[in-house]
Amino acid sequence: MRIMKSPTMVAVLTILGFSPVLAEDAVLTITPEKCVALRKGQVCYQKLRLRFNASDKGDYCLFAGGQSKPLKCFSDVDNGELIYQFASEQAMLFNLQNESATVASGQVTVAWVYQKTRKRYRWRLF
Amino acid sequence: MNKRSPCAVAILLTGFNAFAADIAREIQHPGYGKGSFAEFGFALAVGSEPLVGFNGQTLEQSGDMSLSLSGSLEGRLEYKRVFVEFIDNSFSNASIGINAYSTDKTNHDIILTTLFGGVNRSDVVGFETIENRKGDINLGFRSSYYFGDGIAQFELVSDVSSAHDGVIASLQFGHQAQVRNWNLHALAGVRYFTDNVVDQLFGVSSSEATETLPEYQADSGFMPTLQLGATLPLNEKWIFRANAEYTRYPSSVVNSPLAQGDSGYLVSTGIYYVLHGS
Repeated sequence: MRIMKSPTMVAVLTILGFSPVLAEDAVLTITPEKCVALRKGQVCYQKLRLRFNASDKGDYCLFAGGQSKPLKCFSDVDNGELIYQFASEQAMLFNLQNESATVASGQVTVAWVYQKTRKRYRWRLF
Repeated sequence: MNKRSPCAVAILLTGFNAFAADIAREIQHPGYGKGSFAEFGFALAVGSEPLVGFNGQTLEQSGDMSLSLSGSLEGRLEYKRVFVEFIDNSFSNASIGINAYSTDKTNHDIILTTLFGGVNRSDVVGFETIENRKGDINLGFRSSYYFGDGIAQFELVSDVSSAHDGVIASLQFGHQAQVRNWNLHALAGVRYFTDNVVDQLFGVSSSEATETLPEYQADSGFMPTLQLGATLPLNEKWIFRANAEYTRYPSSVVNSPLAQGDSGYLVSTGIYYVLHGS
């Protein structure tokens, strides 16, 4: 039984902390799961390793951030791996699809050391 | 002439507003070097400051390269428009101030700052006659201007502690850039010291002069500096930082019998824990 097929549902469950679970028959593991930039708003760079294991052999494709073009496709396999150069200001969801259905998903979050909380005032002392 | 003493003051962090910080901090974190924060860590430093009384116990040692591993605390406490800051790798040791006027592109602060700590040469062989110099406390203003990834900062302060009764002006330009997750910065500028500032630190009075230590009256002088640095986040709380700084002393300092060279440098690397980074 597949738990989910909708990318939206995958995203919601991922945000709720169910990452990287996805379907009974496939697991997508992303390491590391977090990219840290110095300041909020900066593009964060991180080399990611995306690995999947499926219970059945088949044709699988890895997608990033809702893009229609796959990062890489694998034919007649039950596992695969991709090294991906992550560069983003915000979290990104990765999906593993088999015949247009999402069978596994995982998310990379972006964190910062310094988070901007500036306020601006104009005020004259004299 | 640069003073870099690791701060050892615990800071309670409150406060929310955000105004200009010392440019040595601002250029590493444009728009973020303000507000309240504290960072502490350990730094390994190699440097040379060939000024008698600043390094070593003999005239020869004052010109030696020094290697040190030390703890470091850098922080800023800000509440409403009042702030206190201790910035490492900065000319200022500590400052308190009030923001007088602020826009998106400028900040203008009134500051009370210590630039030169006390100097004790009584332990340096051959310089026992030199009286201790007390540290200064200066009152003035600091204006910062922001343009893209750059900052210009002008500072004009005058001693109010009767240490030297002089005036010190500073004009600094900084620029920062991101290369992958590295944050690089360059900071260049020049400081001007009136004659009484240089004379207080590097003059030799007639009562201090000996057969081997001639009397010397120092003039005013300009001191250019260049700092290059890099910061890399290790995780959400720890950062790695490297800095290299070169300072060219004014000729009025170089000509003093209390100087053993014409320039100083400091190269340091360290890891720091960011207690609060807003």
